[in-house]
Order: sequence, then C-alpha cells, then structure tokens
Amino acid sequence: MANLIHAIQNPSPYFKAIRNSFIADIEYRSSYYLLIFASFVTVFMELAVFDHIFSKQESAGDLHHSQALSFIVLGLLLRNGVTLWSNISDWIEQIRDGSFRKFLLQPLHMPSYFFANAIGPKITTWTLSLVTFAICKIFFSSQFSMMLPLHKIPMFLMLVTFAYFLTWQLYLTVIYVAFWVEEASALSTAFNLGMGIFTGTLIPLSWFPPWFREIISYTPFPLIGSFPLQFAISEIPTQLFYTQFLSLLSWILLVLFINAFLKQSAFKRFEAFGG
Amino acid sequence: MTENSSQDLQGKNFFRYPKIWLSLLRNCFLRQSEFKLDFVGRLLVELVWIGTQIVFYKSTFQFVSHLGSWSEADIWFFVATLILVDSLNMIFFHDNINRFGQVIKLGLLDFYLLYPLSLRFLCLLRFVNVVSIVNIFCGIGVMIYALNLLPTPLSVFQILTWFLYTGLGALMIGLLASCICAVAFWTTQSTNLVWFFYELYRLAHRPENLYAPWLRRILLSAFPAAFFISIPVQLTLKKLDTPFWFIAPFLVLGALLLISKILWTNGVKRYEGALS
Repeated sequence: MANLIHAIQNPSPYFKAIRNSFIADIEYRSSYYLLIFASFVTVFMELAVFDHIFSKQESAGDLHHSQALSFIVLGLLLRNGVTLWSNISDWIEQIRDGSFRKFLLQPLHMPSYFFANAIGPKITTWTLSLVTFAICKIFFSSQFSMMLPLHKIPMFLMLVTFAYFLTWQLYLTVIYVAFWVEEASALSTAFNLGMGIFTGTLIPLSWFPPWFREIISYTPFPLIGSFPLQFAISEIPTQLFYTQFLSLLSWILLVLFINAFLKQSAFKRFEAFGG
Repeated sequence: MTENSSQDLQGKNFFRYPKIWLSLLRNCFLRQSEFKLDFVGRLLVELVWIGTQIVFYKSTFQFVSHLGSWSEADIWFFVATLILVDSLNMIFFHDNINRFGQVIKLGLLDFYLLYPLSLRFLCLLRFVNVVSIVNIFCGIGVMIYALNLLPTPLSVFQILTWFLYTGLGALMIGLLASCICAVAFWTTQSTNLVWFFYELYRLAHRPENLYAPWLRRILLSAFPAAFFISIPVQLTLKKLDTPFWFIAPFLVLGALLLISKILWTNGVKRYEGALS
C-alpha cells in the first residue's frame, strides 16, 4: 500500500517506464509492417469463410451480412489491442532469475510498473490497429457497417480501456501464479490463444451452443471482447448495456481484490538469489 | 566438416540419425517436463489451438451445408490433415526455426560445425517440441470422425495418395523453413522473417480455393502453402484429378530442395563465426 501511495505521489518512474518501453518497441521497424501484414492474413482467413456463409443468407445468429467485415476487423483489433505476448514471459523470467527483487528493494509499486511497461509497446499496436482499420475502411467501405456515431465513440473507448485494464489484471494473476510454479508462460499463451474464442471476437458468441454460452457468461471474457464489439457494430438495448457495464466493473474489482491477496502471499514466498 | 556431414546424410551413416533424434527427444522431454505446470500449460496451448479450429468449423456448419465446393465431411478431413501436418511441423521444426537466429547471433553455430553430424540436421531438428506429440492423437481422433462422415470409405489408392502427398506437404514446410533460416546467414537477425513465414503458413489453414483468386494464385506459386494441406486433401478426395496436380507437388518439392541446398551451401560459406 505504501508503494502505491508513493507511486501516486511520484509517478515519474512509471511515465519513464512507458517512454522507455515504447522506445525499445519502435526500434524494430520491420515489426510494424509484419503486424499489419499479420492482421490482414487473419482478415483474409476469416473472410474466406464468412463470405461463403453470407453468400447464401442475409444473417447468421445475431450477425447480419453487412456487419460481417466490421465484426472481423474490429474483433481482430480488439484482440490485438488487449493481449500481451512478450511482457509476461519477461516478468516470469525475472521471478525465476531473481532480478524481480528490485521491487522489494526499490520503492516501486510492482503492478503499476508492470502496467507502465505493458502500455509502452501497446502504443505501437494501437496506432497500427488504427492504420489497419483505416486501410480496411478505405478499401472495403461498401462492406463496412458500424453503429458508432460520434457521440458513442467516447463510451466505446472507455469500454475498450476497461477491457484492457481487466485483461492486464488477469495477466497479473498469471504472474503471481508464477511465484509458486516458477514457469507459467505457457498459461499466458493458452490465455492469449483462447481469447479469440472465449471473448467472442473470432466467432460471434451467438453461434455457439447455449450450454457453451451459459458457461462463458460466468467468466469475464465476453465483457472483454464481445461487449465492446457489439456496442460498436449494433444497437445494444439500454438495460442490457448497463447490466454488462456493471458486470465489467464488478469483474475488475473482483480481480483487483484477488490480485491484492495473491500479491501479498507471492511476495512473502519469493526467494531471490544472487545476493 | 559440412561436406562430410552432408555425405553422411546420404550414405550408410544415415541410419544412425533416427537413433540420435530419439536421444534428442528424450533430452527435450526431460528439459520440458522440468516445470510441471508449464508442461501442462503447453499441453493446454495445443488443445486450445485445436479446439479453436474445431469450434470455428463446427459453428460455421450450422449455417451452411457447404463451404464453396467443400462439404462438412470434406472440411473435417481437411481439419484432421491440418492438425496432423501442423503437429509434425511443431514437433520437428518449430522450436528450431525460432531459435536459429540466436544460434547464428551468439555463435553457437561454431559448436554445431564441430559435431560429426549433418549441420542441417542439427539446425533444424536439434530441439523437439515434445508436447505437440499430443496433437497427433487429437488429429487421429478428428480423422476418425471425418472418415465416418465421408459418404464412401476411402479406397487403398486414396489412402496411399493421402500418405504420400501429406508427407510431401510436411516436407515442404520443413524445406521452406530451412530456406527462411538460411537467410539468417546474411541478415543475422531472423526473428521477423520467421514471424513472416508463419503468418504466410497460417494461410494454409484454410482450403486455398476459399480465398479470392489473386490470393489463391499466390498460394499456388510464390508461397506454395496450398501444397501443404489443401492439395493433398483434394487429391485424396478426388476433387482434383488431372495429372498436373499429381505431378505439381513433386515439382514444387524439387524446386524447394534446390533452393534450400543453394542457400545453405552459400550461407555456411559466408558464416564467419561469432567467436572467431
């Protein structure tokens, strides 16, 4: 708690962490092109199947033909926007090799520092996501149907921010688990891979059997992906919107609480070596 | 040394390589199972990936009976082949391709050159992804399901066709991967090249004739990903029956063998060793 108060009073190391991780990320420029290329590969792969589905019918589940491309592109961008790949492994490595001890020696608030380090590389991803979105909008404008008038954009951005915050908290849970098992990178990879299905950004959740949707509804995943996505491409009834929004906030609070408990036990368990 | 090793692979000593590979497999199993939960996590990664493929097509076929010229049974046969071919790639090549840039950059290749073994064998098959072996069982399971859905059982000719052309497809992935690795002799850094390769490889996860015509042409020529899974499946299911399609995979394989050999021969000559 003392470190958190110190972090609020003295945020400069955290801003520096954002700046440094951003600079480190933009060093490899070829990654930009590859990220855009990878996004288009996914779009083509999904379009290959979606085009055939909608060639024979106007709607499938709650997805209309005109919303298909928006669903694919925005779903992909949301997935890319919230998932972290490299940061988690780096942090788990630090627990194993003992260099994690700096958080015990320095007045740094570890979760905030982790968040700052995760934001830096994401700035590039978010910018490239906007570029990908713009390219798709220009080249496929006739197939792009969205329900995102100007007045809805701030709310959409807020939902995405909350979704990112919740995902980051879930990654933090994986990091805390690593204090007990030493190596948990594979768990975060499984988490990232599962995001496509469980968040409903790869396939609309309405396409799944009812039992699967029932199970998924007890997890935070639909709130991370499907909720902001549906908000952007269709009209969500007001009551449903508020219910989901409150669920999202509740999940954030719940995971924050669990993480605070895990952090306490994890730090006590940590046995740094190296002197 | 490299020249000797290359003769080694072609000569009578070739038969010691499976034994060496089995030792490497045992060694990798011990390394990977050191962290129990991580090992389970890796298994989970594989199962999530396979689950994603299955759920994707399962959800799709509740709205359509055919995807282009592919019936549901055909698609499940395709998915089973995809899982099996991909598991071969994961078991044999994936970890090695990802590490190859580091091998060059850190000068570890110096040590590889000293071993009385084929250099390409060491570079492409040294690390075995043991966990992916589970994918083979999953692939067999999906294959049994697909075979039950097919309207007529496969003939002996079709089964032989599947084994032959799927084997060629898996070999092509390895050869293309070896070409990508060899580029690291010139660029030193290969991480992004490998990423690029795997993004293109992902296009093979759908039947090539579902894509737009321009993309299909690329997958049949410049980056022959269609020959990894889609063409072998279509040949087996008699969707392609002109002689050209039976010969084309051999031509592509021959071209890849040649390109790979040229790249590796010139690449190794260019290598100066990080420790020298």
